[in-house]
Amino acid sequence: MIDLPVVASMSVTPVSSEAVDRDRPSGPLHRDVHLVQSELAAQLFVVEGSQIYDIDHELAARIELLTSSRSDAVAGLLDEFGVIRESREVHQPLESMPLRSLSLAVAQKCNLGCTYCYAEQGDFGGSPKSMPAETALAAVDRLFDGIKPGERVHLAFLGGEPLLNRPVIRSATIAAERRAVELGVQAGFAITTNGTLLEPHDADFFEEHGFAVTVSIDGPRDVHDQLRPFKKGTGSFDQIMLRLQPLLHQQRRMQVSARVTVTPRNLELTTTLSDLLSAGFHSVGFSPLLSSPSGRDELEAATLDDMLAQMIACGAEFEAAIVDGRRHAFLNMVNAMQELHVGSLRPYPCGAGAGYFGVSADGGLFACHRFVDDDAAALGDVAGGIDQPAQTRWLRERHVDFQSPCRDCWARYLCGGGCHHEVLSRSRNACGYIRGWLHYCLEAYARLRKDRPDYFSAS
Amino acid sequence: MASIHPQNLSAQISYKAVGNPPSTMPVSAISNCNPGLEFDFRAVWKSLIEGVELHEAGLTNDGHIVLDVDPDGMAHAAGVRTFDLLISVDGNKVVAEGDSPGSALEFSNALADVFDKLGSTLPCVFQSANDGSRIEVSLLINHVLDNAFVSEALAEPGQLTQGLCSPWHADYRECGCYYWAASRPDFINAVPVPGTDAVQGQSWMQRDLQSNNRPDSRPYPNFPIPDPDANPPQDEPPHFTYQEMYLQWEQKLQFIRQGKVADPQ
Repeated sequence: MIDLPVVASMSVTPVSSEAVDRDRPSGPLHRDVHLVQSELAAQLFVVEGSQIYDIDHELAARIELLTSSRSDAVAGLLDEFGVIRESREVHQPLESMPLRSLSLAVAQKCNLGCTYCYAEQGDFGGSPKSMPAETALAAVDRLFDGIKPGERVHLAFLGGEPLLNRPVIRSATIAAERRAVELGVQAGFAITTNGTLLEPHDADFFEEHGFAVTVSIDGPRDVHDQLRPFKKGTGSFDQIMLRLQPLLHQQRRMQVSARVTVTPRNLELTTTLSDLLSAGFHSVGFSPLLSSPSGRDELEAATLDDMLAQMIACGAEFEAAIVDGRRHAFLNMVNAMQELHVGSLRPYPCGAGAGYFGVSADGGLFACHRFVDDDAAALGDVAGGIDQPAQTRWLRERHVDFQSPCRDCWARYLCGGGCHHEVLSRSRNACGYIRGWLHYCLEAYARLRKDRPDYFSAS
Repeated sequence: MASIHPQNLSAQISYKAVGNPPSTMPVSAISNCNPGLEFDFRAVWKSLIEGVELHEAGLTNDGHIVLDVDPDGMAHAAGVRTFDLLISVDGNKVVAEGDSPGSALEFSNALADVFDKLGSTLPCVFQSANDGSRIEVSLLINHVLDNAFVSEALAEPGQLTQGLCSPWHADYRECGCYYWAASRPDFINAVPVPGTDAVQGQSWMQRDLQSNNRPDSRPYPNFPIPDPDANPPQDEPPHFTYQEMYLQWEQKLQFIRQGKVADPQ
């Protein structure tokens, strides 16, 4: 949604315990480099700068030998081969950042009763409430505070279920669009919804304003209905798919994507991916459930292995499509290929608490939509703006260089240290999974660079 | 010999190929494209238009000199030949402005509009050197970059630096206009003018050290081009010429000490 890391919408959290990767290709752990080797080729991933090189087996063998010794020996070899490593700015925690992206928790309540929900069935553990229009409009004012022509802002609506407060969504969107036109600013809009309350006129509105619409769907009907039932217990799948049809048919400026939360109960990802793409979603992304308030349905080491295998199987379908010259909208791969090609460096996993904030129904500013009403990540309010000392403290504490054990992990600037919310609530329990996925993505990048270089020049 | 090849964009930007000087890296370059300093980027502009090679210093008030034409290309088929002049691209003139002598940076400025349209096929107008007739043909404008590299289709290895045949002499004179990186004084023999805020003095490369604050103290252009056979003889140019810098620098240049021409003794 906002500034997604390579692990894209996976919101995962790494642990660099060497034991996790000892017998895997994504190991061993080295803080400067990572090797990806096959019989035919070898790749070198250089952590500083997220650089990717094709190397021959002779050089791979030399690096492999050195990675078991001192890291400055590796540095000397990289110097010898002309690999410049200058990315000092990434190591310096941000002091502050202007607020340019907000998600409004317009309804802190929900009509579904998903067992794993981070918002605890919508109310974040408090009493159900709706955001008043004046709070939403004050948030819009805050979004444009001090902005210059040509800049971009991003306004998202989340909950709970945001469509329980449709009038506020509309008035905030129209106000933001008007301000954007007046000020020569580009505004982007997004909503994350469970889809059960969509009306045909919502499709018109979202299309008119170019919304990125994310619908939470957890798989084929039977598993979805188990994981995402109405509060009264009945399944929601049929109602969602019915109400989605106008959006799926109308999407031009609007893009309708499916977000699948992966639990031990819906691990058939290849089936889910093909079903949802066939249903007409613009893209489909998977996120592992690593932390739920109730502890139910969380993925553990063994099920994360199963998920990794399924993700790689989905990735293979993506690769086959791209080699054939077909579009494929497996979002985790689309994002990973783009980020690896550019060489993204992420000292933070996302923009939470930097340029992006979640606004509670009461007008509080929190590090993101997941932290709504959580004092540990309270960073000001829409009336007074960002609490600057609190933001500076947040940005310093959350920088990946200051996370343990991230600072010794080769994947740290691709992953950014993992979703702040999950790390703070459950620690890092999926590092092996993340590195396994990124290792596969590096392999896939090498294959696609060779077979379809045009895929990258086009992007 | 072990081998390594950068793949993604950050590796392409960060990789220093064996034999390349520091000036080829963004982190260690002055990034001054003026010909002679680090590389001559005009070598890339030469091949910007498919099937036509432009002269790297052939921009005139009338058009841009065509140095070569691909016999199998669209331009040749349309009748464009060596020494024709390229007049405009997509309706915008690519000529030197007014009385500009066609200084090195003029080439880039003249093509500014074209750089927004890389990869497009655009109408190009030429003037025949043979009979002055107008030739219009749509030609592909090549991409300058291939990912993060300068496209090899436009400049092969070595081509960006092949024009740097006499670097220090040329640079020393070229950067005679108060350029921050030049390691010599610009304004010499400077003394305050009593009763005013002014200072008088001379350009370091001025021949006539009797005249102060000459209006032509900006040391280039290199005009008039010295012609020893001119009849009547030319006036002496106000500054040392490039030719003098190449051939007689030890006689022409003097030691400057504390801002003043020093006594050779």
